[in-house]
Amino acid sequence: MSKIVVRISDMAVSNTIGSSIVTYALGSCLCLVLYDKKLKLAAMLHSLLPEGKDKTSLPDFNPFKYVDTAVPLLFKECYKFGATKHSLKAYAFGCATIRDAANVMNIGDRNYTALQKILWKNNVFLEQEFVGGTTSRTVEIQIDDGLILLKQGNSAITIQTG
Amino acid sequence: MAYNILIVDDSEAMRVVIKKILRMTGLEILVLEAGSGSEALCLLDEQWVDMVLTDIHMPNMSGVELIEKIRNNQELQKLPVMVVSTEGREDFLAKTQKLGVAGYLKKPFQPTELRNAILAILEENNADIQPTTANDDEDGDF
Repeated sequence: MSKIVVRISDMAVSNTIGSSIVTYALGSCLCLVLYDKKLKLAAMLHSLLPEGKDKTSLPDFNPFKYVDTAVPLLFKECYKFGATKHSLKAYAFGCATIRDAANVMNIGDRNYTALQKILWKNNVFLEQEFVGGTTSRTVEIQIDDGLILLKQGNSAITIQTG
Repeated sequence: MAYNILIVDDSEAMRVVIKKILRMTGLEILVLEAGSGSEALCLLDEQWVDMVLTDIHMPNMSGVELIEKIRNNQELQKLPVMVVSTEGREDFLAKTQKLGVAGYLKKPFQPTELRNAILAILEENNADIQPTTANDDEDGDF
């Protein structure tokens, strides 16, 4: 099975049967996974920070770095494959407190709030979420069956989408 | 600006639901939880709270008794309290109105109803609040 790796501040959308999309070592970053069961279409986003709306004019601006600019793009990319807002099931991961032990920056919480804000605005509800805590996570979705494999700390969880 | 909201409900499941909805408001909200009226009073004694959401039918101390105690406390008497309950009898509503509750929402409720009610109450009590609504702007729509 070939793996498409999503790095920090990046996303991937694929309907290639026999493949999976994976992101590793998710800490305070947000990973949003979308899956369309009928189309066998999977999408994954790995965003670092909550808000980038006011940074779009910067020369090296990367919309996938920020939750508020990345989430709409992830959905819109899926629409190009024929998915609709309601055919896509959404799952959130990450938003933990890892390096910043005192949680001064509160990045994980802020990423989660930014996600909820943008989903609410667009009438999208999460099917499931595995967020917060202090453990690092690895998330992988199999395109064939939409199965999500989540590793958090020493445990592994399988999530059936759709 | 962050807001502290205290949820008082003996059902943990209900507190979790309300907490989720609060996070969806897009406001920076710190949620405090109490499983009983007396626990709520202890928390209110120690912690600044911007708003209380309380159930009515709870063991030992009912939501009505809790509101009465809040209203009789000089430091807390202006604290906005919203009732979230299955109770819908008119005489009962009148009673809570007399106690000056800021809002009343009957269970079961839609997430949007709770969200809008909370935002309206916070807005009324905090002039600088700017809740996000679907019509704010086109940015971020998908």
